[in-house]
Amino acid sequence: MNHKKIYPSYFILLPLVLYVIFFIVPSAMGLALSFTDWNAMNDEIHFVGLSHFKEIFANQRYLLVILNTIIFALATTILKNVLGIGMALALNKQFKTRNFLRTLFFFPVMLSPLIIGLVFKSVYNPDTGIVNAVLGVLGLNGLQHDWLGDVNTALAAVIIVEVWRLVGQNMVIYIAGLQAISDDYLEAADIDGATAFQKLRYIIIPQLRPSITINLILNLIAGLKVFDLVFVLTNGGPARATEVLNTVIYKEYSSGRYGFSTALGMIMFVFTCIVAFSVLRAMTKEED
Amino acid sequence: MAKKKTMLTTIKAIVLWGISILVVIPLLIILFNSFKTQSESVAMELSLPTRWMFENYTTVLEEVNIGRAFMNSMIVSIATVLIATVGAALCAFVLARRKTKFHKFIYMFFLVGLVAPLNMVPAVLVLQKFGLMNSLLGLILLYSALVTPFTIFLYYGFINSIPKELDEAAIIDGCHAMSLFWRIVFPLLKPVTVTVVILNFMNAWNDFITPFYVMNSSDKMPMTTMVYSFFGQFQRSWHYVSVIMVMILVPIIIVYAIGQKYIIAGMTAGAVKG
Repeated sequence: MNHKKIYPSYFILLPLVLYVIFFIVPSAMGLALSFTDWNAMNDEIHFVGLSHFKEIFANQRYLLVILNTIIFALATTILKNVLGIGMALALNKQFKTRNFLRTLFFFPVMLSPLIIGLVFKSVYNPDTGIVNAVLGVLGLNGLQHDWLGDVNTALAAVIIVEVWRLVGQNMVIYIAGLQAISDDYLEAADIDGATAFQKLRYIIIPQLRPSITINLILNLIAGLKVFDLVFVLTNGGPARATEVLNTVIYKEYSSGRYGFSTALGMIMFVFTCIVAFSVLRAMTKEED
Repeated sequence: MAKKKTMLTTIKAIVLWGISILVVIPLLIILFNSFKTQSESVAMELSLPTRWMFENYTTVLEEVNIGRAFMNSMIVSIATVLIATVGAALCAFVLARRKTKFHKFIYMFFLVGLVAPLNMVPAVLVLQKFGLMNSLLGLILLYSALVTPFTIFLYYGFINSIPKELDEAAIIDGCHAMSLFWRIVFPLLKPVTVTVVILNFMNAWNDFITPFYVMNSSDKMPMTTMVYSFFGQFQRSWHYVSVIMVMILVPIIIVYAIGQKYIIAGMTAGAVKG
């Protein structure tokens, strides 16, 4: 059978061309431009070596941004996974409303982060928001707060919205993982008198390893890349408490410092690749 | 023992219904406020409108250029779905069937795009070079490129599970490359196709970062960018902002209602094998 004829190479062409032009070329250009002083003011572009990177890593302002991004990525990843496993376990057994609840819990994944951001802005509103209203009803007036306006709570408040948005995605991946676990293991454990916790610890969690791997990678990448939600909720404020890499990249771009903006983009590129690759390595290595 | 079990089930039910309420509340806030008067909607509270202002919807349709924005979003989303899905399906088919060193390399090359973020500023520069700034076509091509890696990834895995003997039989029966793919293989890919169509539509429909970088004229704006700039201008008109948000949500809800089984299947594909 002539492979060249029935599987012609020109089938590959269209996506490859689009991908190279609009993804690979910008990535390569980003690398090159991050070593230049390209900006909106001057016509000529000069090579400035590593000076952008030196500025970024020597300046507390930017180190704080990188730290915020890491905190955001880690906190959302942990919360989404823990809650996702819990919800998946609760929905794993067959009962009447199971499919309905699964569909409902997944729904926020489908929504535009822009809309979610706008709504939660009003949910968190110190005077009229539902969060403070509920605290008031519960008699916890002492806890009422300007959640997004306070330096100490703003990042946590944004993290909670991101968890609300994507926990359903983790849940469905864990449900799929749970359904792949053979009942024989669990029945054998029952016969041996294992407790629910022991079953979770020694059978379910180890068997879920592929789902855990994929969820860790997806969530860490999404966390490092976060932009729209932060942009709408706080735009990096108050006092840069929620500033993350992508919001700074946009701000530097709007202020015309293109070279500097691409340098930050480069850092995010390298960071994301390293994180994804190391998680994959660590999780698949232990398997052998 | 039995008593403990029923108590656990009750607790579980309470927790699950609690989560359901948390999911639904923000959506109800949008819906209720879209029917309120301006003064009542200022607080964006969770309460039923005292008077149902159905005319909010007609006002937005007449006053704001929302029809245009809706069309822009539809054109961009549908075109992205067509280009990305057809392109990626053909591409994944050849990559999955040939598996030479070269084809494996191309597959890995695509997978880089699954992980790495796009460097937005140079992407803007590329669009400028092609004269695609501020144009729907630019947005369509950019989105198509960005969703291609994931689309190929899903198709590739699925095509691997279809026996190659099928292709050989079709060729012996006189099929050509194109007819083999469209008449024999593509119908078998229906579950993945539904998944990627929905996910790609959703991504294009919901995105609002990219138009922020590449669009500056208001008649080219999609719905998301439109609602954001509208919100910026009329901070106190939450009733109208809510109306536009409902309009953004409705197509997504329809798509989700039709295809939720396939979306969830697609999201979990590969997750079990690792």
